[in-house]
Amino acid sequence: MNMQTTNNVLVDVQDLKVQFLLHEGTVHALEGVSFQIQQGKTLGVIGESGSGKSVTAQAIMGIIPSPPGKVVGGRVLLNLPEEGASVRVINVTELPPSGAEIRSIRGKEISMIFQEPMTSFSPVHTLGNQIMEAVQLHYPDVSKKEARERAIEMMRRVGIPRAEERIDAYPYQFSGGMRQRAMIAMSLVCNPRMVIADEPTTALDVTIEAQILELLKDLQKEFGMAIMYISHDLTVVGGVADEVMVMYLGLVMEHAATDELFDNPLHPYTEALWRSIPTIDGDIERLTPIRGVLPSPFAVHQGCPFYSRCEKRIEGVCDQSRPPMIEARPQHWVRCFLYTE
Amino acid sequence: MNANNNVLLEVEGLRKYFPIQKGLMRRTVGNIKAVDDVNLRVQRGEVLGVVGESGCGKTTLGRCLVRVYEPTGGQVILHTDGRELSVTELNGEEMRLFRRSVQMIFQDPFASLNPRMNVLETVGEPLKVNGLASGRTLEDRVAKVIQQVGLRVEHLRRYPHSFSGGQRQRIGIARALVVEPELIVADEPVSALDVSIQAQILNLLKDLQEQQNLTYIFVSHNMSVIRYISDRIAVMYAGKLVELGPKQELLAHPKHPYTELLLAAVPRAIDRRRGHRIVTPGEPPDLAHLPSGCVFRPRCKYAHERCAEEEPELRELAPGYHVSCHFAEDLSLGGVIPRVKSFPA
Repeated sequence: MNMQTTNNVLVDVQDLKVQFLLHEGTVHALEGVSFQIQQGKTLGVIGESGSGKSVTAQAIMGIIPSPPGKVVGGRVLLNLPEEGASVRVINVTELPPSGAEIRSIRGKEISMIFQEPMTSFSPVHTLGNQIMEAVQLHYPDVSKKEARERAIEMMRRVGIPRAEERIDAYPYQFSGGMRQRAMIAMSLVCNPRMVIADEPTTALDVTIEAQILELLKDLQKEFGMAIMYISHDLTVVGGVADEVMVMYLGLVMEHAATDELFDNPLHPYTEALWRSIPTIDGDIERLTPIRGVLPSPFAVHQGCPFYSRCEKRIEGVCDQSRPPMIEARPQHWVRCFLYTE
Repeated sequence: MNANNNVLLEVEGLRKYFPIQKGLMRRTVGNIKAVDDVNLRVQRGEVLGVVGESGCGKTTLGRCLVRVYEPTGGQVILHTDGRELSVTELNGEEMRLFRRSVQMIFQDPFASLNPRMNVLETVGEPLKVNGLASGRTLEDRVAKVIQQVGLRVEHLRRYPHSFSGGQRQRIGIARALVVEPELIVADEPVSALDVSIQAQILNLLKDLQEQQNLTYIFVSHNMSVIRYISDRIAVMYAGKLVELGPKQELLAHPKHPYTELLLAAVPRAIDRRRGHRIVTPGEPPDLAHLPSGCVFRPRCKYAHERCAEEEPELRELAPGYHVSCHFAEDLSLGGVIPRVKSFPA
């Protein structure tokens, strides 16, 4: 599936398949995931637990824990523009996960913002040292003093008051919201081409979440990085993303520009999600839950993985083979037999 | 307060302080006032939603009400079985009655079930401990309640590990319901569940409440969930109740600036149309260093001098509507405007 192939494609994921080989069985975490991320744009990824949204992020960063994880098919191409008009194309899935090349990309070209800023910082080093480390790792020529100045500047930019003092503070001395700001400062300090934000506001209060999301959008305008924004929350993703991709059990079920996806949800899963979520301003008479439970992660689905819970399933069709990805409306892709000819 | 047969629970001046200790001698140098002078009444058969940010005291309040925590001060009166129980001073016999009348549902269905007890043992335990049933009767009652929460009799001998998060939460609900309580305190009962499962549990809780005329105190940080389940809403900030009123009125026309701020921050589908979410600077308060006067003052865009000098009391602005703001009458605050078209967004 190609969303508008242009020269601006930064990340090109092609038919990616990832498995986790555990002794209880094999988890088919990604079963052929394809999408692209454009430079400077935000792709929102929506999914519940087991959908593969975080594994997709790990694959792009080349940090799938192996063993037990294994890329069994497909590839992740990074198109890194170089000086002049040339583009360096890197296939992340072929690089050794701790080799020099991927390490020069991780944190510099692509960085990550995690959900829990308390556990993703080292508690025994100051925030400043951790942000400076990111600079010095990728720019060995930069002096310690310059790295420190760069860190202070970045901390100031993400809205940490008195950054020149706070740089010597430890993570525990920061509130949750301030820690997440520090994490964003660290992720942006090398001016990456893309930031992957994996549920960055899930652990935060709603008032702080709003601050962090607006901050990310402002920083994107200023620095021009692409963002892959992963969340289970449709309303949050709707507020930040240019295009949205809905995942379920290792497959992309629907992918379209944000307005298009919200105005015309096509996949029964997307539609059902909307009807099942309480909102602050929608109909409050009765939610319509999605029936059944999430299938076991070890289950193998011959047909559509949503079959067991789908209200619109066609027996003898949807349970027999995997639905193809179809462009049901212009630039609106959906994996569902309802839209096949 | 005048007598009213329909009042199930009265909370008066409830306080729960946690000491801040320092040094080798564990000297108490101050207090975290997790719940500070909370007054409210819960009517029989209503759902009271308690909402606020982390650290506002909503969980501590819930725990004080079910006697998981011993309150530092104040009174909680439960009207049950034609009697008045003072929850803070229960004797043995009263405690048994209290445990039958008040039950709790917890947030994390993975941590709150004993992995070595099967469903029958887990759900049957409150009956056994309270001497309400045993043997065949106990099993029948458990089987009945298990079906009410949408599980099957075949599940009785299974252990928690074989259930999904949603099913485990159903077990937790069954365990609370089995003693046929009047009041259930539910602390973030759907927060740990996947979005596709949340609605199942919310609808189950709603149905059970309507069918059995249960009373809920429903604690959550999620204003959208609170809106769906509650009849009345209590908003907490820094250990204090700042606003309490019927759901419709409170959401449409909040009277406390904090409620306005909280409602504005909730993500909604319209954000992508207007291109942003409403953002207010500031952070939740540091409970060890609260400001003088009104606790919300540092974040309040309407604050005046009086707010620094004088702490506002929770007062009845209109019958059944309480707010703690000096300027509640003068402010015209923004609430939630329901979308005309509910789906798609």
